[in-house]
Amino acid sequence: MNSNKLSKALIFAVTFLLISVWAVAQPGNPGQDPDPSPGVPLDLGLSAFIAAGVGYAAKKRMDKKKAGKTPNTLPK
Amino acid sequence: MKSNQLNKISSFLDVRYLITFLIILLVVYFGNLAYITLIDPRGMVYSSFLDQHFNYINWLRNSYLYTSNFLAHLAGMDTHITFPYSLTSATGRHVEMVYECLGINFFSFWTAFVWANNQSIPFKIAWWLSGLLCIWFINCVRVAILLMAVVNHWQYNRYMDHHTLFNLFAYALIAVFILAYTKQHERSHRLAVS
Repeated sequence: MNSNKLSKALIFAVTFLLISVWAVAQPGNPGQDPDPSPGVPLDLGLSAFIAAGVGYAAKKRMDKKKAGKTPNTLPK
Repeated sequence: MKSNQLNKISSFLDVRYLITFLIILLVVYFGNLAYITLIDPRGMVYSSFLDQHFNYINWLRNSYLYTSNFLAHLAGMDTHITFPYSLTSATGRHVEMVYECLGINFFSFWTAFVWANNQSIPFKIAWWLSGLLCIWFINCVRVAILLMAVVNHWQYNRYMDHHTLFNLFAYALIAVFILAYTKQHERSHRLAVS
């Protein structure tokens, strides 16, 4: 992925994120069902998923180091 | 300066993987949230067309309810579905499938986890679909067992309720699936290199 593509993807992701945050900021908290009684959530927070991604990225880097590859610097 | 810092980070993180992972995760995660807004009649941006014809949230919820109901019957329980949210036993005790119960956040994570990797498209599709199916099935079993616990008044653990215990079990199974994917990914990568 070159830097141009990466920038476009980042702009797309941030725009999408802002749109969804705006869309959720409405009466009635649409992220939840109207029935307030307790359910059976299967849910980890976004931060836990991001942490898992960071952990896996670190593992991939270590594996590459072991295999003797040079660091994958960001494209210039 | 910036480039130096990024190079430092890239010496202990696979930056390309991480950025791709984050982009996919955020788009899918918030995309689902935005879609739920679109199909909620109480929202300002409501699409009745999407709500009536492409309400995949309800499709997913119903698939959970029907399958959990089936599994509960297999286990000898007398249960029925009380639309739109509940799986109810003959005694009236029930569990509810609200949005947080659908495991959509896990689906988002798995999608980002698989698609951010450098692999062939068929490999990604196969693992992506089987992962989604695995998460879906674990959740079905979890709901059926939770109903069983509620109906049979299983003793609560001193430190942890059934809910947390079953959730941990579900997380562990998903972690095992991630591990299996990682092993397979490394094996196919090694084969490709050699």
